Amino acid sequence: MSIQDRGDKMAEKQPDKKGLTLSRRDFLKSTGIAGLTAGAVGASSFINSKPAFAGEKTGQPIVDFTVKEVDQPKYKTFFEGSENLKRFHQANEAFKNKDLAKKNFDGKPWFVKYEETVMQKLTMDKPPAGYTLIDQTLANVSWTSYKTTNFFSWEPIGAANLKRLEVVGKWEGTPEENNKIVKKAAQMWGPGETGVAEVNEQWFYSHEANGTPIIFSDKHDKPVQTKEAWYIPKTMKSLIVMVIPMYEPVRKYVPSALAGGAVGTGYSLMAEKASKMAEFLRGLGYNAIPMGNEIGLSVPMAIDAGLGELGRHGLLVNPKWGSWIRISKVLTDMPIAPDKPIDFGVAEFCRTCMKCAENCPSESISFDKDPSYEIKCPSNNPGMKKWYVDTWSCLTFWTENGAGCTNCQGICPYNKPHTWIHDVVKGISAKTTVFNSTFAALDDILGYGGTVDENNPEEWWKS
Amino acid sequence: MALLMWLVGLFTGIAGVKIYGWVKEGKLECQWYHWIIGVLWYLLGMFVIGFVGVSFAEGEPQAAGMAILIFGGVFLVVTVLLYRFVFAKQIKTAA
Ligand code: SF4
Ligand code: SF4
Repeated sequence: MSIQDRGDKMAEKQPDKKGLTLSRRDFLKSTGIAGLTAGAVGASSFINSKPAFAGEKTGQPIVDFTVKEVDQPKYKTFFEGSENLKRFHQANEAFKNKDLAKKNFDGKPWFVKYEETVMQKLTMDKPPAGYTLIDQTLANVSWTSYKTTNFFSWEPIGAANLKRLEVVGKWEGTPEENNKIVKKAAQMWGPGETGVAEVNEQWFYSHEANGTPIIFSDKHDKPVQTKEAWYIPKTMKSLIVMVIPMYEPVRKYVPSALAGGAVGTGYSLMAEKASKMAEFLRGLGYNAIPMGNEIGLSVPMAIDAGLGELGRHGLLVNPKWGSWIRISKVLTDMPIAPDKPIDFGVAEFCRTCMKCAENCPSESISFDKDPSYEIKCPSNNPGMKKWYVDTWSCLTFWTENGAGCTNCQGICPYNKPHTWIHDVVKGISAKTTVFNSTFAALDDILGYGGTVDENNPEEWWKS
Repeated sequence: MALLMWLVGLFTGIAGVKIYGWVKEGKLECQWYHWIIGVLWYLLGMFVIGFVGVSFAEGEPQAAGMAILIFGGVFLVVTVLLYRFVFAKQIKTAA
């Protein structure tokens, strides 16, 4: 008899004094089964605590009942009147609007006033955390790829070898194959999501910021920019939209210049990805126009491409990355099967969640429970029932802050990473509105989100 | 997180086997509602552990703290009920 067996026999003979005791044999038996249970539970990845931004593999929702594809985008079913919107003149947006400049910026461009505030803060005895020289410089240089390159060229930029096409001809995939190909290609260029929509001319500016008309032309077979007009061939019917997540660790320091570094980095990634996608398409024998914020409205384009919903803050909310994102687009004549718009309950959730409005320092975001036709400033495009945002007071705050503000994007509850907690909440709110106010209240009670008021940007530099 | 789940699995296994043994040997008499409270207690406990673990891993210590306070509080109440109405009686009977 082994020592263990003897021990077990003795243990069995011991009188059971308390009734509910654990013998060594029982313990060993239990731990054996427990080990199996533990292994099974551990292996099942029941809890995925890695944030989505950590890498490609963590990007999938754990509870995958959140998103449903719909035939009509939510701007037609939840909101109303989108068909009334006229093509927008880009010079009318707050950044370019001359009336706003006269009213609030002494007639100068907004960034002159902005720079004055930057310098005012930098020359203080102790510049505020998040607004120091290192924060401001980091924010500036993060824009490098967006501001200092020809990434948005309408012409080939030499990365793709077009000579090959003279021998092998253009790539002829089916629209469905092409849909898959462009998405796989975009995956290689960094995290994010890609969708495809059919072109809706309504979302393109009527004129670019300097007043040049943007014309969809059936007389052109290549995109052309002249002094008189920018011509887009009508044959360019496919719109590839890419959502790019911004650098997550500084989100909690909005609206500081440090958090602005994430915005600049997002813009640079937009430029890089759009440019690579355009060159990829050119290399396969097609025309392509890479686009940042110029040329057209990113949010409705992204909605059409099935990448998210319109939120109270007037921006896109993506099911995987929330609102801490940027969007770039590429227009092409490659035939690509479009994706369907999606619904995951954002508009309904926004009715009760007012977090972006509550955290907007300039009170530019509506507190109305339901959307309305009432515009908030002359830069709004009238005619649609939605939550209009006062972009004039928003930009004015930027100039007073000495940094771009992204509080509304940073604070949105949909930004949370993929853990079972957040996926369950997102899943439930996608299916029913019953718990939305509880979820919104819990979001506050549990202390999610936060801004530079609660978090010290110096921590990021030291971490 | 994997270690935490492994430990949860380990203790779940030990508790499961032990309770099964007690019931089989007649040392623990369970009514149907005892099982319901027990299962609720277990799920709640798992929820609290999972929530707190994930919140720390996510870098949200405040969410973890509040979860301990709110959900942990509920868990404590159910634990007291369970002990008072199921185990305390059983222990007395056995003694
Ligand atoms: S960017 Fe800031 S100021 Fe502008 S709407 Fe969003 S929260 Fe308000
Ligand atoms: S913060 Fe709330 S109200 Fe604002 S967009 Fe996000 S979910 Fe909607």
